[in-house]
Amino acid sequence: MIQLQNVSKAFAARPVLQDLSLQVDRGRILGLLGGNGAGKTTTLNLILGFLQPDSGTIRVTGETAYFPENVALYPELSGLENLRAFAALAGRDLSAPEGEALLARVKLPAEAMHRRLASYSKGMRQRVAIAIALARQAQVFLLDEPTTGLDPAAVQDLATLLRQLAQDGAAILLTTHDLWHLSIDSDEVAILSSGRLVDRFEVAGQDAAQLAQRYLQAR
Amino acid sequence: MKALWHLDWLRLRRQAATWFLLGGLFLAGLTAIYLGKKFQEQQQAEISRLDAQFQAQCDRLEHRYHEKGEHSGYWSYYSFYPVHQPPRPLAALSWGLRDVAPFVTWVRLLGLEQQLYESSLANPLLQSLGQFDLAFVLGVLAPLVLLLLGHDVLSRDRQLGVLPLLAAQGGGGLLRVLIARLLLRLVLVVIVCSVLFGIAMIVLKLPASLDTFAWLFIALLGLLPWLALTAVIAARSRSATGSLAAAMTTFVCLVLLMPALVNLTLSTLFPVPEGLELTVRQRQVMHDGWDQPRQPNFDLYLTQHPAHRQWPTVPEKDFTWRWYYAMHEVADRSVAELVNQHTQHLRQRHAWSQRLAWLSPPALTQSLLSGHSGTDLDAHLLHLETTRNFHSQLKAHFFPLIFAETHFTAGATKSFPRFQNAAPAPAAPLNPLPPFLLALLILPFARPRPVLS
Repeated sequence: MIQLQNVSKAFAARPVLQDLSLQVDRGRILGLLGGNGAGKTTTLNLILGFLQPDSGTIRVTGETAYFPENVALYPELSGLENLRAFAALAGRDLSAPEGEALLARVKLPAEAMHRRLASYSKGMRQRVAIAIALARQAQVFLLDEPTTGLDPAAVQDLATLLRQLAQDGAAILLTTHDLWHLSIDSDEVAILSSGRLVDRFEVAGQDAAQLAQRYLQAR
Repeated sequence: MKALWHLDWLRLRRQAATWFLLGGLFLAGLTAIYLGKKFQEQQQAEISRLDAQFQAQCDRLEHRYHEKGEHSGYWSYYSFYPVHQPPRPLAALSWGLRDVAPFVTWVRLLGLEQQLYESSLANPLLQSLGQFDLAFVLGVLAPLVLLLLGHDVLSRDRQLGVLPLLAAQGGGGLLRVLIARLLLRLVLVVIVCSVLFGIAMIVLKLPASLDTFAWLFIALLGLLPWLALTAVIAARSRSATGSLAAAMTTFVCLVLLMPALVNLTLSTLFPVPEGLELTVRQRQVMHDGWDQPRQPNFDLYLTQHPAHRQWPTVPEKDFTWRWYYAMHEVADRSVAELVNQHTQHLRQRHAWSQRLAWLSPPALTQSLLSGHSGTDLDAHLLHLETTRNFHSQLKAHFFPLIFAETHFTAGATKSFPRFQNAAPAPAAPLNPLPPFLLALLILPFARPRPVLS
């Protein structure tokens, strides 16, 4: 579970988050929507502990997995080696078959598993990163603009994967500009504008066009 | 930590730079060992030839003068006596001053000081760069490899974009990543250095003694300040380019600029009278003696040698060997104060250079290694002292014979004194504390930048 209560953050006296309160329960996917500079990435960095809030409290229950906009892994290692190495860093020793099974679960083609990451597409790197999170048995997933640069099929695959994770009990917070992705993927949307939470609502039954209209009204 | 090492090793072994740097270090070490062996063989060969050379000289003297029953002063004028300082086995690893300062000195019964300073104490070109011995490879090149392997252990990940993911894996922050990665690089460099040392032990037939391993211990300890410096650069740099620039600047400053600056400062603070100046002064007194009344100068000699008062006078007009050799000693004594200053200033400069070596880890390591190898300035001064003592023995042996106007005949050279009990310079007391303390002084600055910086 992710819980933010009255969190504020400023850089050089310029407020980037003001009195933000949010909660993402287990099994839920929250989409954080907002324009550039609205405070989405800052929110993620605060949850990750990379930044400290000026005020307010942040509580995260469970192992956290983070996926930056451009998932970067070690290009000189294969997907399987990256997975095993990062899993080991998190304290889990994976055998090669276990690693291959995890990569298969995130639908990484078998022929790619032993290939060096330098030849992977963004979607493939993302799958390896999700496999790393699965290996760690993460319960909290933070994704920063995960669909940028993905083709529609890859976005669909990612949505399926995230839904599966939520069904398995994960709490997922993702930031995006992609309203179509939100419409197929999120349970709930929160809209940030100039560091303030200006709207929050359930997605069920709304398509991308309706979401766009609501976003434009709120910001 | 084990997982961090595993991940890092997987990456390191696939980077060409790793093998290029470690391989280069290994090849440089092999070259240094080869040169050290040649250096050792050359010095040992030169020393082993001394007896034969001395004997050949005696044979020539016997052949030339025995029939005429020549004056002992005449024989002594043409007799040279070798004094040598054998190298410690470790000298092949750290040549120190041994390839620029004499370790064999042929002395005559004449004034000594002019004979001691015929060669310069240091080659300025070599002084700035150091000789290509194993001490240079382990004290200068190994730290360079460590620096190049380690300067970007965080900044490279920062540029790749992996750092947030790495930090988010839990298991203890960037400091732990930094420590693990630098330790792995240190281990790799230490392995290469240790293998090189093992090869050197075999090639140079070094005894497997504590004394030998202490050399390696000091050389490896010398890596600690570099590890700390690498940690500071790696922790504080934002980009790999920036960390490389910082690493190279640091290296050039500590290896080239700082020793040169220290050398310049010490030369200014402790000007050492040149050996040539001593020689000229001594020769001048000697030459002047030819134009001065002889008895007053001979009296000067007798004040220092009351035992020789049984020969109280010298003729003013005729040449006597008695006067000639006494004049040489008087000339030696006339520069005694300069000689004393020379030695004192060299010692002061040496002591200060050891203190100021704290400003430059490679200089510190080289200083400790040459001290332990018996090739530093103390060893050279000991050789000068040994030579002086032997020269005194020569005078004690020959002067009574010369003063008594003895003539040598066949077989005289058999009783000529020979330099014996040659011993290598002892190792300076081992002090591993400086590298440790230097590393501890630097290490607190190695706090990694935050992930988002």
